[in-house]
Amino acid sequence: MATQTYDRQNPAFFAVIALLIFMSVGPVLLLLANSLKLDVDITSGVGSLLFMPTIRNYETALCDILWYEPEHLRFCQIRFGGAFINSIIITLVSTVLTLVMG
Amino acid sequence: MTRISANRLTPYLFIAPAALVMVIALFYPILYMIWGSFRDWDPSQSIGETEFVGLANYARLLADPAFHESFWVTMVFALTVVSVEMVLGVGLALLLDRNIRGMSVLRTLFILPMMIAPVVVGLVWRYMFHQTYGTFNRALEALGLPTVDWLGQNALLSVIVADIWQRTPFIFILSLAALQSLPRSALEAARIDGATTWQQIWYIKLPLMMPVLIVTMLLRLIDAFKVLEVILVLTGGGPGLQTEIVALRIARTAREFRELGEAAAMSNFLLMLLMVLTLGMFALTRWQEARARRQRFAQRQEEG
Repeated sequence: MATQTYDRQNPAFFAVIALLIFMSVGPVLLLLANSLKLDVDITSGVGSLLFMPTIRNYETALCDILWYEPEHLRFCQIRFGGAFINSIIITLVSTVLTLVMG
Repeated sequence: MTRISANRLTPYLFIAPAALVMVIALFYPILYMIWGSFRDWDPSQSIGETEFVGLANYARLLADPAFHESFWVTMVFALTVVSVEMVLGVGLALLLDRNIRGMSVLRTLFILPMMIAPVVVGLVWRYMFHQTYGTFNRALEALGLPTVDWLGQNALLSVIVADIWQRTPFIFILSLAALQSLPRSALEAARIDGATTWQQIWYIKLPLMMPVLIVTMLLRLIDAFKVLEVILVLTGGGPGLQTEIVALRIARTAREFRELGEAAAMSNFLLMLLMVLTLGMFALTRWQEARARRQRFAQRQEEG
């Protein structure tokens, strides 16, 4: 069986790649981390990497399509499910029309 | 009708319905916008009820200092982001055009910013640039350095940084595809002839990639002139008019100032600018191809 061979690289190359990955993925990880934090943890100045993760923000965002009522919500204000369905309809219809006409 | 002329017409008849739909879908909005730019048009009126004002909207536009400011900001923004993104994207592609373990994972990680909705990008960078609890100012404080007013005095720079972060992967992915489709024989021959890495990049890779790079730059330039969401969320065009690009000015003129005619005139101005840029880029591509053909012909004659 033929085996794939790889080029040997200078350690500096991997250092540059690590830095670039951090720059590229850092804001995405921050977004993910903030989605698992309470507002107070996001705005507090201490230990932004040390926090108790919670799915409360996801419950708030998805309240109109959840099968249970989240305890922390008095009423469902955000209609993310409806907006998401609108996006799917627009994407599908515009893609089909573009393909048919183009 | 003779049989020959009927045969000639047949292909056109087949494509006629699709072409008709395309022409209507493409030109109707443009013609509507051009017609609207000659009218004193309020959103509460249908275009038929509006008064014809000739070139008054265009004259007002050219005399409006706020539009001049928006146009200048757009030029600075578009030219800066496209230049930096081209350098970074092509540089990254050249760096990663090698056979290393986990390359597909690396590529996926690098194109991640491109997959995020621009509104979300605006929100994330707004958080990172926040004066009090933003990531950058916290890092500066931790290092004992003075904090920076990212979304105030340096708002345009912040918007440029956010755009570069999101759009560089677009250049990277197209440049990498162009690099990997280059004829390996030319690179091998250069290596055997003793060309250094820089010589290979400068004299072989970049010239061969040039047609793709020109199209990529054109696409990015068109996109940069139309950018709206990131700036809308990040700064809302402020402070003052510091980051108010033309697309945002058009949206404001139509929605807040309720001047649809003037907004249409601005849109036509932007459309014309982009058309001139596109034609210029295509002319440049053709000139380059012709020059390459002439060089190949001259080389063959020298050899022969």
